Amino acid sequence: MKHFVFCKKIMRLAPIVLFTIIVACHPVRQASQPTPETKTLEILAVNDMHAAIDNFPRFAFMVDSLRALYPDMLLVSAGDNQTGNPVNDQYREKGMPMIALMDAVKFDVSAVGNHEFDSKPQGFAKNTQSATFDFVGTNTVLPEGGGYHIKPYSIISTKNGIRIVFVSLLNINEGGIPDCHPDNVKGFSFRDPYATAKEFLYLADSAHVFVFLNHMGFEEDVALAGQLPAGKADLIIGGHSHTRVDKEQLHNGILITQAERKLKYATLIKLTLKDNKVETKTMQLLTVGNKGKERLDIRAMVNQFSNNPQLKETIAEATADFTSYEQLGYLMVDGIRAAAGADIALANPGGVRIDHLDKGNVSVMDIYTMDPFGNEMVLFKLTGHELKALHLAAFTIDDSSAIYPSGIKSKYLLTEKGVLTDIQFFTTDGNPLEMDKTYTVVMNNYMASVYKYDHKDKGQGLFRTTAEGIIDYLRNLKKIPDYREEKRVELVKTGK
Amino acid sequence: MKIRINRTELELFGGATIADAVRTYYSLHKKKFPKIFPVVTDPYGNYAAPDGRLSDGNQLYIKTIK
Repeated sequence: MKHFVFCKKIMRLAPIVLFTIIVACHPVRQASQPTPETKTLEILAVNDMHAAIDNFPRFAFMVDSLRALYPDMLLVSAGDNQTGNPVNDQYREKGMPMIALMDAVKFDVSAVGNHEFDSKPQGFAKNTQSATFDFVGTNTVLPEGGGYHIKPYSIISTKNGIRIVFVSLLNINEGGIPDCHPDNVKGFSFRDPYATAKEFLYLADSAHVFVFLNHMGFEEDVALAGQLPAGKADLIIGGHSHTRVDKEQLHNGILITQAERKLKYATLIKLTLKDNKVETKTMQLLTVGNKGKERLDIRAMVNQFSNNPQLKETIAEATADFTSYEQLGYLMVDGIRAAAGADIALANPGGVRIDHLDKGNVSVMDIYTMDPFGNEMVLFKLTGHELKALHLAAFTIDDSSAIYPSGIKSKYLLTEKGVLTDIQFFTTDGNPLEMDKTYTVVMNNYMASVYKYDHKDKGQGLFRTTAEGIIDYLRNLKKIPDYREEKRVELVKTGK
Repeated sequence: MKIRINRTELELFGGATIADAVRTYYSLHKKKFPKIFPVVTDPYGNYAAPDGRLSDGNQLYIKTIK
C-alpha cells in the first residue's frame, strides 16, 4: 500500500521533474541540435470594399479587437476600395473618404483594383499620395511623372522577424486594360499577369512568406496557382469576382481566399512558420456588416463624410417643371449620350424612377433618385437594322412601352389591338435614318443583357454608371431646357 | 466575352457582371426572372455575388430555375 502511495506521489511529481531535466539540459541541447522556432503570422484581408463606408465603424472595432489578440496582424485589401457609394464617389476629392478611413484603421497594403482608376488620373495619383499604406501594382506600368505612389511589390517585416512579400496582379480584359473607363488609364500600360507572376517569384528567396494580393477573380487565381512551381507562393488573397470563400481552398499547395464584397466579410488568415518556413495555413471567414460594437472615432468620420454637401449641391437649374417619366427619360438619355460621346442613347422605360422634377435647382441626389440602380453604360456599334431589331425585342419585354431615345426619333406602328407591326426611325430633324449606316449606341447594362436581337458587336462596358454620366452632363449644361413639348416617340395605330 | 452558365454558353458585352450574365441566361431560355436573385456558384462551389465581374472563359452554376 505504501509502495502504491509513493508511486502516486512520484507520478504527480513527474511533470515537474521532467521540466527540471529539460531546463537543466537546454543549453546542451541548443548547442548540439537547435529547437525549431515556431512563429505565427495573422493577416486580416478584405477585398472589393466599394466604398461601403457604413460598415467601417464596425470593421474598425473588429480590427482593434483582433489586434489586441494578434499585435503583429497585417491588414490588407485586394483592391476595388473605391466606387459604389455616392458619398465617396461624389466627394469633392473623389475617393478621399475611403483613403482617410483606410488610413485611420492602419491598413498595411492594398492592391490596385480596376476601380481605383475611377478617381481619374489626377485624383487617383492624389489618393495614392494620401495613403499611409502601400499601393501595389506589379503588372501595372505607371506613366512617367504621374505622381502615383504605387510600388511593384511591398515587403513588410513583422516584429517577430517574419518577412512577407506582397506582389499584386490586376486582371486585364480583352482590350488590354483593366475593367475601367479607357480615359482613366491613358499613359498606363499593363503586362500579362501570369508572366509577371513568374518574373517576380525570385522575391520568394528573400522572404519567409510570399503573398499574391490579386485583383483578378477567383477562377483566375486558381489558374495562376496551377501555373506556379510548388513551394514558391504561400497565399493568394483575391478580389474582383466578389467570391465568398468560406473554407480553406488549397490549389497546388497555395491557400486562396476572397471575402465577397462591401465589407460584409473579412478573412482572418493564420500561418505558422517553423524555421522561417510556412508550415500550416488556415483561414476563417468573419462576418463584418454593420451590426455590433463600433469604433466611435470612425463612426464620427463616417457621419461627417455622409453629410457630404456635394450631394446637396446644385449642379444645374431646370428652367421648367418636368411632369412625366417621358420628359425625365429624355433628359436621362441626353445626359448618357453626351457622357458616352455616342451618336444615339437609349433608356428603357422602367429605368426612370420619378415622374416629376420641379423647376429650379437640381442636385446630385435628385439624379440618384431618378436613376438609383447603379446601372453602367455599355457602348455598341449598331447598324440601323440592328437598332430596329433591338427596339422590336424591347417592346415585348418592356410591356409594350417604347424606349426613350436621344439622337433619333422613333415611330411605332401598331394594330388597333396594340400589336407592334413596324418601327420607323428618323434623325432629330425628321429625316429617315440611314438604316445601313453604323452608329455608336449607348445604353445601360440591364438593356444590354436582357434584349435578345441579332447584332454583330457584343458591346463594351464603359465602367461608369448612367447616373454619373448624367451628373457630369448637367454640371456642364448648367441650365436645363424645357422638355415639356419634347416629342421623340410616336405610337400610331394603323388599323388591323 | 464568352462565359458559361450551367451548360449554356453566353456571349456577353465586355465588363459584364454576374447579374448581367444571369439576366442574359434567363432571357435566352425565355424564363421569367425570379424575384429573388438566384444563388450562383463558381466551379469550386463558392458563392459568387451578383455584382462580381466576369472574365472570358468563366463558368457559373445556377442551382434552380423556376
